[in-house]
Amino acid sequence: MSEITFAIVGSGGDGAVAAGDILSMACARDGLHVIKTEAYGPQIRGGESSCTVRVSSEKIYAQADDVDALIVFNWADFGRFRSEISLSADAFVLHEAKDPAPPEIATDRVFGVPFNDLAREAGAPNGKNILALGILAELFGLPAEAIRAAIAKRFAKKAQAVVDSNLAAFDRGVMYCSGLARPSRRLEYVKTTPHLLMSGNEVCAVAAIDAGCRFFAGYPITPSSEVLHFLAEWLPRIGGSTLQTEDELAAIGAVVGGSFAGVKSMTATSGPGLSLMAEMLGLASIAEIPAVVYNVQRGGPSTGIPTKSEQSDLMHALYASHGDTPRVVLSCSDVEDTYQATVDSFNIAEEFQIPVITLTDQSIAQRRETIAAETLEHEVVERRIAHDLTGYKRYRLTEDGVSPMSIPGMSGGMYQTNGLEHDEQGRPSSMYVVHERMNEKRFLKLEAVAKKYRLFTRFGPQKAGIGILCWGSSAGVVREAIAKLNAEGIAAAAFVPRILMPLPAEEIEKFIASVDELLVVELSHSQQFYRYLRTQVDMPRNRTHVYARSGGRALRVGEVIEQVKRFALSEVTA
Amino acid sequence: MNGYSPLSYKTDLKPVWCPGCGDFGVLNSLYRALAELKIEPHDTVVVSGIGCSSRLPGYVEAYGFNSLHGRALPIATGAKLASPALKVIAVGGDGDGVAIGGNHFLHAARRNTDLTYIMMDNEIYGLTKGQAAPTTPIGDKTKSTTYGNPEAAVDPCALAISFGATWVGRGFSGDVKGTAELMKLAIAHKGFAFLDIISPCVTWRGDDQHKEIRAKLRTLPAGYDKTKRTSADAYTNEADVVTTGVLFEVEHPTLIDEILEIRWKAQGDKQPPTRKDLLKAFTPSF
Repeated sequence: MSEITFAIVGSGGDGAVAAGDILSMACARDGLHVIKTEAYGPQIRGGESSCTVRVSSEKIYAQADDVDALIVFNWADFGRFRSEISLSADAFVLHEAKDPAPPEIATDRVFGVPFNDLAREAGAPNGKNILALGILAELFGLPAEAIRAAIAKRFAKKAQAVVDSNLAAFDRGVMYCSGLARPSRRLEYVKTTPHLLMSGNEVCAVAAIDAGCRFFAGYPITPSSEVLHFLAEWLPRIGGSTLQTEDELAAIGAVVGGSFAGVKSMTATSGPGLSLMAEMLGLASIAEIPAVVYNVQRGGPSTGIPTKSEQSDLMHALYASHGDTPRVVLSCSDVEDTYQATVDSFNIAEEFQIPVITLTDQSIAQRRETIAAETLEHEVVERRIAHDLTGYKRYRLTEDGVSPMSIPGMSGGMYQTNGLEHDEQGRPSSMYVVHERMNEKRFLKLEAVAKKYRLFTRFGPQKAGIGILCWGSSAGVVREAIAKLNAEGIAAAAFVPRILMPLPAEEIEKFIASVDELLVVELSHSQQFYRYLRTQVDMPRNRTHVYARSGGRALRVGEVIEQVKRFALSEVTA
Repeated sequence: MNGYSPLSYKTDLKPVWCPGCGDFGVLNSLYRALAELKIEPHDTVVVSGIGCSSRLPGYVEAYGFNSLHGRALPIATGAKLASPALKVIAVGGDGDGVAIGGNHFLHAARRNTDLTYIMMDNEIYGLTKGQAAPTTPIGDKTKSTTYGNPEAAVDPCALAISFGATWVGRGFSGDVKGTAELMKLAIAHKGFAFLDIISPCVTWRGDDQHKEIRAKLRTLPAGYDKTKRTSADAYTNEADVVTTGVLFEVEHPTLIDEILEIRWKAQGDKQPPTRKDLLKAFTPSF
């Protein structure tokens, strides 16, 4: 595997993010694998920005721990991201020559480049970002032809002179390298078929459309709003609609109403919104109305860190709402997996008439990642509709708890649905026996879901000295860590439940039995995943270790490896 | 169903309301209005929140949804947008609509959502046994205002007009026929129609409520211009007088009109988008 991670840092107008976009799209075209992340200062517009692009010849599952090549247009901007950008030991740093590097940049490969002057000479005074791409392409063996084509495409709507001057800037960058030292690594790859480049939120929106969602209601919230944006553009084109509601109470209310009226409906939100939706989750659960809530976790509680990732909405997703409230919780472990998780969420919601929460987090939702177009396919399941309406009972007791549903507009299917406890016909009841029977009915559906959806992923050898249990965005990092540990000869494996409620407990127990030491890894200070596991699975206390820390910074592959070695290496090698 | 008679809209569920509750009158008016408009029960959805009056959907032969406190309007909005052919009627009390659900009232009206919203207004919290509501007059003693209500009341009709409702009326539950006529107008209106029905709570506001309200009833004067917002100023927030009738009525494009317009703008008569179109922004095609 050949890979390099680039970071470009600048101020608004420097084009750091635009350069990252062009680079990523070009690499995607030539079949390389890319994960691109962006970070911004607190300003709404302008201000400092940083774009990190990991490029690899083989499939990757997480951001890289370290940056191999750094472009800095302005060191003051870099200071803002200093704690987030870790440089690899042989990192190559190119900075604006007029802005000398601070002494703490401890690598002997720091080079001043007159980006501004060179770009001006090339006839593209605003093209220093493009010029930088030329330098990177030449130094690191990036697909120059694809980058040139991506530049032409990027500026295609502008005058030909703009395209030409930017291409000239790129070429000037390439030429400039003749006077530069060479990095120790270059990208080695074979050009293959193009990939799509998408974010988790974009994949979720496409999956929703594919799953048959035709109504979306939502309230803007970072980091989930891109789902609203995409669906606002596309749903009207296919006979659907979006509603930007006054708050999240209304968002999930409208989803419940739309679904009750027979249309697959969804909302997207983040922690604060999910908190507001709690009561309505209970209504969807007791009234047995399909509803999909895509929740992008961010740092919490309260407003927390809206632009950073964390895995701390887990307990809320599992248990939010008063009363005994069955719901299904699925998780997304990377951008590609977001597709399967979203379609599965609709399928489960529709088939079992239950609210489904699709849990992801900022790191997956907002990073752009290359995916193979053919992975965006999944079977779609439709709602069980009551076609025979003689003696119709909306909440008829059935073997798997699912009662076929009539839809408003269907003659003879009329019923009243209810947040009040109700009998088989939907009539309110405060009788204990009705309540008990109906609770049983509603929870029966979870058993049916558990049987049909044993969604999990397992990496590493079948027998291992150490096994990691993790979920969601940690999975990608853990997967890469496992690969490295295995390559070092350490028998480490990992188990990632993709469905969290109902949890595939039996499979987890089998996994626990197949490993000597157990390590739970999560980005939650209060160990929400570990605590949840303990309620569902017999966790062996004397051989379970927990690595749980606050989010706000991506989990690192090196960090996981370190923990594995710290907690379990002696046992593993013994 | 035997034609469209008021009785044919009645379910076999017996109302939980207290004897003398104004909501019986509202329910009877609704049966009558639905029958006279020949509304198809299975094309109708009646959504409510929580409260005494929110039990109403169970008593109407239609698709019913007794939902959460304050949330009838978002649910009704979702149902209507998802399935615009449905006739969607939201019902509930004054506490449900003006207190806990006030924000949704504002936005459902502002959007001119194609809904009829019927508020059964008893100026009190009945189900929770007699606390002050935002509609309870200042000074009134209730379970939660031992020394008299310190807060001024709001008039839901005045709110609805200021929020942008395109049809606003007020009725009295004791006048079943007159209220049914108002309901017919509200249901037939294109856009967001709000009907405030003074519906006495004899249990928590006293046995004399019907008599007292009846004494306060007035109708709008001849020549009243219901197309002007300001006309209603003199007939809302009145002290010691309750004016019934159509207070405000204008025509504006509705939310469904706008959504259809958006679909046309987005797609027009072009070929439906392909999967390739959908993924275009993410495809490196250069």
